[in-house]
Amino acid sequence: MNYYKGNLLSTAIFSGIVLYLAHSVGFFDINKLASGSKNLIIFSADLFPPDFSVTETLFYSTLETIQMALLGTIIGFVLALPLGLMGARNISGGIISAVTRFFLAAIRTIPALLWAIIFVVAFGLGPLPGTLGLAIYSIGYMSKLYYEAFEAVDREVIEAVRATGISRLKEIRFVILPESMNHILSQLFFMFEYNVRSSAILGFVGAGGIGFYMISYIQLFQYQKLTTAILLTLAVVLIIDFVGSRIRDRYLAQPS
Amino acid sequence: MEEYAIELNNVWYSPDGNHYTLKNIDLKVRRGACLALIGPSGSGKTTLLKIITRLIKPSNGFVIVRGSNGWLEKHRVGYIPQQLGLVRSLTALENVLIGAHSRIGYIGTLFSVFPKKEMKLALEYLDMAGISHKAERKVYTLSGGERQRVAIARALMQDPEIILADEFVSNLDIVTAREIMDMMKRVKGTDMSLIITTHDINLARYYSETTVIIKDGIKIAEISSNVLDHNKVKEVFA
Repeated sequence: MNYYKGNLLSTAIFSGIVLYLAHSVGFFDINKLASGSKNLIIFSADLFPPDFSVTETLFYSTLETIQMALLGTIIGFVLALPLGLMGARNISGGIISAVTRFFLAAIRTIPALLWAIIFVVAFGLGPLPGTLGLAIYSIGYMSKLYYEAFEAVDREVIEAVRATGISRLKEIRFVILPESMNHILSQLFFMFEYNVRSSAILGFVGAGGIGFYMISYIQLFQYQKLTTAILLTLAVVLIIDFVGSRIRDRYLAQPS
Repeated sequence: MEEYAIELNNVWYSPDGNHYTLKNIDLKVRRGACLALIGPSGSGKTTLLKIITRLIKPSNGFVIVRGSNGWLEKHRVGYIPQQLGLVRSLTALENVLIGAHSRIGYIGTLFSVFPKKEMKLALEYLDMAGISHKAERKVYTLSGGERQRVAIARALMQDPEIILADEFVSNLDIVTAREIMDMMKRVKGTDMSLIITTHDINLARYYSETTVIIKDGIKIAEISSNVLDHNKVKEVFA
């Protein structure tokens, strides 16, 4: 079989699998899609215009959401850095990195929402269980991204510095961390943004923040107020994205 | 004092236990001498340098690296890899100071606080390398030639008795390469030993006393560099 025939066959198989999956979840059920689309249009029309009378209330709950997300991200970051170093095979290696990776995979298996429910059961309603849920999830997620970034540090740079007889602690301080700083900060801002969006969802299970109002507006069919809540969340996410990209541009190395 | 700074005796190296990338290498480098290693890509030149730096251990044979006062500590062998191994997001000065870390146990160095005399020394080496005016510039903003100078200054900061330079001028234009090699020869002085790997026969001839030719992990010739020319290399490779 030549290259083109092989390529054609693999494309056909892949397309077949995608079509089968789409069919099995109902993408080809025309009646269902038509009625769903109609409902979506009605729902979308109900979302506008936004009801800004709730802005002040939502502003304070947005601050609580940001507070939860910020604290959860910071706790996650502080613990993810050492765990990332322990998980990196080019730094810890052997049994330490294998055990750390297993532990982190176990943490990631449970989504942030489930962590929040567990902590709500343990600590009761409010921002504390939400913050703890975000922190735990952030640890699992960021540690993985960090050990991958640490392992991607140029081997020649590490070898050149190791050849100077430097200690392992200083190698981390002066090679691994500076060379990965772009990734570290990018993932940190991404995680913060993710946690802001997540903490809105966590409010659904009583973990505080703007999510509590969002679920209330949905249950009471007050969709125009829901739009205001979504717009506020969007504004926060855009601000984080803007500030994050400015900081990265200002302080970090450009690829050469 | 022993005459030889580096001695390799019957050195073999295999990364996987089956396939040998270095086979039965014997090599002696006199104190203060400059030796050139030439050979095609993948012939084992870099592996040989890494064994001398003690980054990797030989599978068989032994390596002796001597200083003027006996066994030479690992940190006093300066190693400049082909891509230089500089930390791009640190400044030129910070990169040079990395060369001092193994000499200084002081905890402040972890926070980039160095004794004044070490800072002065680092600036002196940057000055010697002709790059002190860009000491505070991040390495990623420097040109290839400037980075070469920073890498040399970092190696000098280790207070080395031996410097191993792995094709470190191969990416530069010929004029800059010559400038860097002239500087290298100047700072080397008479006591420091130098091994360079290169594809450039002219560099080997002008800057080394002895040339060792390696092919497929085997040392196939050791000749005086002043008789080295393209015909000679062709003859040896044939």
